[in-house]
Amino acid sequence: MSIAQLAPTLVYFLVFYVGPLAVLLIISFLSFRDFQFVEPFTVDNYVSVARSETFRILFVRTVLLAFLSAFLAVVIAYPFAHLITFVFPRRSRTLYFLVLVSLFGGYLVRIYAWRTILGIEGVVNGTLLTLGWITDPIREILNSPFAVVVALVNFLIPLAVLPIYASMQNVSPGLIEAARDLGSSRLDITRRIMLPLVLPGVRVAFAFCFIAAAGDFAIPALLGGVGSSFIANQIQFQIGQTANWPLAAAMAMTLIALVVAITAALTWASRFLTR
Amino acid sequence: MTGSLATARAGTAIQFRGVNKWFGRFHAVRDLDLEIREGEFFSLLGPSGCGKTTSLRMLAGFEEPDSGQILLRGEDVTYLPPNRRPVNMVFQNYELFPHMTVFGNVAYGLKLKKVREPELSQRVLDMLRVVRVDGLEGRGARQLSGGQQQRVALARALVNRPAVLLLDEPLSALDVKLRRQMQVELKAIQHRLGTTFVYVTHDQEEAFLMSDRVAIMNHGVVLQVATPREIYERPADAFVADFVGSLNTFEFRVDGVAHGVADMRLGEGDRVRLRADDGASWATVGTTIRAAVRPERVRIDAAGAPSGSETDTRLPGVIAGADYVGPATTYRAETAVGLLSCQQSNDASRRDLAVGDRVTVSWPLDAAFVLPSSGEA
Amino acid sequence: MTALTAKAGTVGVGPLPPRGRRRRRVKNVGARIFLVLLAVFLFAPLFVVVLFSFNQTASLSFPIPGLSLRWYDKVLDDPEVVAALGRSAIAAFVTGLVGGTLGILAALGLQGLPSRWRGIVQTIVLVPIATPALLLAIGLAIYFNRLGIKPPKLPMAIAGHILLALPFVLLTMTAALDRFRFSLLEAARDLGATRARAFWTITFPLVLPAVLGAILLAAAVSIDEFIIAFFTTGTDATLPLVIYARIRRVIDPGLNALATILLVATTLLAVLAARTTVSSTRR
Repeated sequence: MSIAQLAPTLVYFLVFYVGPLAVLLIISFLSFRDFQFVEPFTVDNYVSVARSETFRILFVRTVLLAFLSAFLAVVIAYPFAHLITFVFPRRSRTLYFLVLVSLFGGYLVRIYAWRTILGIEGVVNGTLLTLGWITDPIREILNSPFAVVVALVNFLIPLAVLPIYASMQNVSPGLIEAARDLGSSRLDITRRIMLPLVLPGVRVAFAFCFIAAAGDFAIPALLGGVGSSFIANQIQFQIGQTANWPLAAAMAMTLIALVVAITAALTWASRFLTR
Repeated sequence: MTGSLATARAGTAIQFRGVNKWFGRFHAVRDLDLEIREGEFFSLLGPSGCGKTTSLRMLAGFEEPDSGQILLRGEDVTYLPPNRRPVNMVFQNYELFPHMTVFGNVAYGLKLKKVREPELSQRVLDMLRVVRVDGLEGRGARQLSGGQQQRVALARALVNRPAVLLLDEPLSALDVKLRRQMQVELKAIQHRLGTTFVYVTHDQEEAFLMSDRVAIMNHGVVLQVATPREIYERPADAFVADFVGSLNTFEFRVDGVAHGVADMRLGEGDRVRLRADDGASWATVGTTIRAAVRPERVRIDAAGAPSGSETDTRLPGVIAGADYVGPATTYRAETAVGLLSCQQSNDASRRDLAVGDRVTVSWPLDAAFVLPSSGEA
Repeated sequence: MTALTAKAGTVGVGPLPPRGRRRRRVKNVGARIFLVLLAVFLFAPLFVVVLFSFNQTASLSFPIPGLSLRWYDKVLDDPEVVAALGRSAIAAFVTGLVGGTLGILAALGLQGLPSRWRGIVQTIVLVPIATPALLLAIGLAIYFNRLGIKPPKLPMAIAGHILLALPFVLLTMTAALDRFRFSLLEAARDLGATRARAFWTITFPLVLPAVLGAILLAAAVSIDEFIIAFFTTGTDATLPLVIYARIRRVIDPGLNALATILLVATTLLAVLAARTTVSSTRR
């Protein structure tokens, strides 16, 4: 009975998740000739990717900005989660609720909003001009790494809050009281009791944010300009302009593999350092 | 199945015949044979895991016996689904439907039986009055206190006029005072309605207070079925004796038997006496058996004080401990037959005894009894 | 000093020094400032967009001369926008229904599974959330292409949306079913209900809020979704795609109105979803 109920979902999964990813993987090994992708199988695409200067530059930029954004998002999300769990527990429902809703609503709207705010005719420049603090609008805020990071962090904070908040639920106030009773100082408690319990949540939050940011397309496209595009944009270029799916697929696979590897390394490192 | 009709005695509400139930390798109920009479308040008493709840659930229809039969007023209901049995249950966690009002909960069974207005409301409100929650019918089930929920659960079951009402430790979640109050009320309601109640509990006092008869179970077996008094004063074995109250047990060596009284002589007029009925197989000189006496029947006096009749047990002792609980004190005295507990009420005339005091321990002949050698817990 | 006794409620040795009390108040003020700043950072951008959607003029800076609905009129008269609205609505509807049904069935199936398998299956279904959406997007695009289903159309995007929504639906429903006390059904049967009757009178009403919440959540996921739609639909633009296309063009003041519409739709669905799921937690 249970199997019958689970089957449709699992089948859907197989058809629409495993299938596409498998096809993508296979395609990344095909050759590209005359705007068609054909046999024979080859690793040329991956070789091109490995050799490509462009890819390397883009990759480094993508990873750096994604890392920075994920880091900032976690750094901001942590105190927020702490506050709603321990300092304002009574309001925590509404606050958490607000965060959740902003997660589900407004990805593109936010991006557009930041364009509005940071553009030459945007809110920031307009206000500065009106106030007389500057005479010419500052072009550099938009279409810059700064804009990309701001928008990424804005979008990632709710995502980071979720796992951190969840892991903080595991710290019962009773634990803290017991530690105080046994003579622990506040700092000591944070270090010995909270951190070990909350760190897994922080790791998960960072991982989610980093991976989401590294694969993002719209934010660098709309806020980054030419100088701040991500790998995702390059992938789209290969698909949209030259229909070179095999190369695009290889790029995507490489990106994901490397990003996951970095995440795993970071997680392992953090475990090692806090053993 | 006309055979079952023939063997059912008039006035028998429930019969268990050779009922067995396994959960995997665990033999929860073994060869259960039980008869519960019409209109009686019957309790299944025993420690956790003894099979009492399983037996109740088989009666309700939520479990099926692996062998044996269950008869309800002569009819075989062993495999009848629970919604077709004329039996209703009050659950340990009440299980009130949280999305309905009190009225909705209590009316649920009646609606299923297609009872119509105005009879429906009449019966519901009457029953709410019987359990004393009248006025609350519009309240949501989630908004009731524990005691109120308990009463509503009772009303919900009783309003269907079941042949038998089953109660699965319904008072265990209530605090002591409320529990006592409900016990008295339950007894009164049962008496008033005349419905057969089958009650499961692990609380000996509760079972004794309310029941006409009690069945004591352990490890899936019924050890004794009798009135509370019989169980307390004539327990079937050591486990039963110990479960229903505290007990002093000791070795009794038969030194002499005369005129229906067996003697264990301890020297200088000190002796332990047991009544030996005609035909008591143990009553031969030289036999050793285990005997018991309840602490509240044991008397302690200062050493040397003369008291009691010739047939009383008398022996010397030294106070080893005293526990004062307010209305009574329990003394523990070292004697020749071991450490004996004596419970005495604290009335003004008694002098307090202290550890180390020499005393005389005594009890009347019929206070002590032989422990059957079978059924050690 | 031994004569001093600690005041009630203090933890630690001795009475609370006045310094500590002041420190606590300062900390609270700091906390509140942080929360306010964070709220501003998260919501001010949205607020700005909404505000300017009612701007009388096309400027995007303060101060605002006056309010008007002209941008909404302009935007809703645009056939491209209306078509996109319709498509987004259809996508949300289908995602909600199909995603909801699959997810609810799966949650029911999960209930009957031994706990060893439950964890595994649950993790499997959660994987699409952790997978970068970019991968899913281009994967789905090429998948349909290779399967011969071209040109790219809305149903392909919907297929992707359902995939994204399934984990959320499953999580919500599993939580609700875990909370449901199956012993209530025993009580219902004891009172005379058949299994079917017990389901409709007890299980269904108690689980319905979670079901609705899960469906609304699935719909919310679909409406706001961008990247899968971007790679899979081509000319069948959904609302986010239209916004994206227009952002790349000249600054279009009507865009504020469009964005506000999208925002309202997603927020409304998300809020409704959250409210209905929360109400089912009250036993």
